[in-house]
Amino acid sequence: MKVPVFEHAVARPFSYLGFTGGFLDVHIDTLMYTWIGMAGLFLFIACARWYVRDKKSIFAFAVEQSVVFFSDLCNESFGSFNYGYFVFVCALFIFTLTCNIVGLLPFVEESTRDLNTTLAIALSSFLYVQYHTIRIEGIKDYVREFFQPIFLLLPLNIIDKVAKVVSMSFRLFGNILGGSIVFYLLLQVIAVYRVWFIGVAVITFLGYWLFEKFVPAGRYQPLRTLLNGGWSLTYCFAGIQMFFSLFEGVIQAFVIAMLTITYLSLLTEKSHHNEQLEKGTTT
Amino acid sequence: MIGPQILHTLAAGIAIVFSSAGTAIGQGIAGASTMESLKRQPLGRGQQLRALLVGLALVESGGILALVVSFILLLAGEGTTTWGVGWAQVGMGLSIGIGASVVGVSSSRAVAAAVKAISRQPLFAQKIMGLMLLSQSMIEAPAIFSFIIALLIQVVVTPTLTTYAGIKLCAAGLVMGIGCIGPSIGQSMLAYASCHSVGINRTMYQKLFAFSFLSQAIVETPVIFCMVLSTLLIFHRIPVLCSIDTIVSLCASSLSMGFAAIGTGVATGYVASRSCYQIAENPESYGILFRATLLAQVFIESSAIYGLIIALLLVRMA
Repeated sequence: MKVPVFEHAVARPFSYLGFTGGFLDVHIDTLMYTWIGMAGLFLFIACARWYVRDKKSIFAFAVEQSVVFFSDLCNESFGSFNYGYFVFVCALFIFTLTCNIVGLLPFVEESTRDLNTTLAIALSSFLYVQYHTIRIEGIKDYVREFFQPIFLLLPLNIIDKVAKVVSMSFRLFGNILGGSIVFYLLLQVIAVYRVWFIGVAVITFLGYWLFEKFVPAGRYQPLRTLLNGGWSLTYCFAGIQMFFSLFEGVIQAFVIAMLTITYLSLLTEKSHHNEQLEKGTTT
Repeated sequence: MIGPQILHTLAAGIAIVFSSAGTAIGQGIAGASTMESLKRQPLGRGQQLRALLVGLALVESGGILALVVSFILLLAGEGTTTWGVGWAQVGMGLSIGIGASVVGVSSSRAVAAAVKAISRQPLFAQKIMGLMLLSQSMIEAPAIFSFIIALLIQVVVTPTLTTYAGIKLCAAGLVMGIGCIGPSIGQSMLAYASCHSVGINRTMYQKLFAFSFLSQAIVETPVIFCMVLSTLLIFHRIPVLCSIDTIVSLCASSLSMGFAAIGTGVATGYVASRSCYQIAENPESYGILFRATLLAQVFIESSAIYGLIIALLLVRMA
């Protein structure tokens, strides 16, 4: 029995040159799903720019509120508003979210189901934080930190850095993969009893619609309840995917953004501390 | 005569005995708490009894799932032809038995706290019941996952299963069963704290509702990891003539993930429950509490992720 959840379509573009190996494999399905998600994101941004021009629309309000929410989060964590950090955290959040919820489209699956995507997201966050650490502290202090508190702890400090990336990427990967496994098993159940599911859905939907249209309210109440229940049962399956795709997707994207904010805010606290020390010595 | 039939009987027994014990203890806890709160607020007995009845129905659902698995095991008893099939059935029993028993006890703590909160705020009963139902339906998730895993094992079992393949399926059931323990305890702590703190400060209902929804989902993460590993073990192909090393490392992977889930589940739930009380007492510091809790939970959860990584490596190398 083959499970497509664990499988990927693999291409080896360098194989005719003689280069083979796991590192050069390209997962085509993941790549396609990411591109589809990015296309959707561009479409969304175009729409957002169009709608934001009208100051009174609800859409503009929603976009504005979400931006304000993130900028408040950054302000509280960093102590002061830093445009570069804010933009990076927002971009990371939006890209992760897009990859998590792209599975809601038909024939498309989540691209964060693949470990390669999540590792790339975690690495970009990690490298950004390391770059700013070096920029603020200087390369000398950065290297010195590896030998703190004593020289012997160098391997432990390196493992600590690696563990940050690994835990960040596997957290996202495990959650999204679990969601897609649950949905795959559900689809198998639906495929076995396909006729029953479609029959119940169509009959209850038509029945409920006719009831609402032609029968006055308050009559034949039990039958109405029954039809309503059958129709909502079919909604339950959509609800399970919604939970895993939307809710878990938003939470995990938010967790990644929060972790990046925290690592960056530790950095700014350190630089504030250093500035205060310097001021103290000069005055 | 001792044959594979003995394992099949054992599996059906495990499934029903464990789950009914857990469910019964849970219903006892809920009932006892209702008696206490009825003594405190006799005038609001209508709302309290209604919450109790709705809650007990949800507590019982884990036991009903285990009953279904037990029936499936008994009806499929004729198919227990080899020791492998017997071991696979023990795996089914462990998965649903441990899962349903822990979920039964955990789910009742939400009812106990909700009834207590209703006795403090009788006019707010409807909303407290909503929070209780949310918590209980989130707590039910591990039981439903272990039910899914038990059914999956039943689907992949064939009459000519080798003993090693059967032990592999047993390990897949075991990881789901052990993995349910910790997160369920954590979720029960969180559900108790959130219902109780709505009783303390009902003006924070909206924020506590959102907070507990989010935290329940994060506390539940180790269960999802366990389910990923369990599905991987079920569909992992082993050669017919494999050595015992393969099986030992597959069993080790299941133990690694299962025990990693216990501590993280309890710890994340404990952090979230303390935070609920703080939110009720200091509503103005909701923002910082929310962020600190989320971060603490995320860092605690790294241990479960390390368990998952080791388990995946063990499966890969087997």
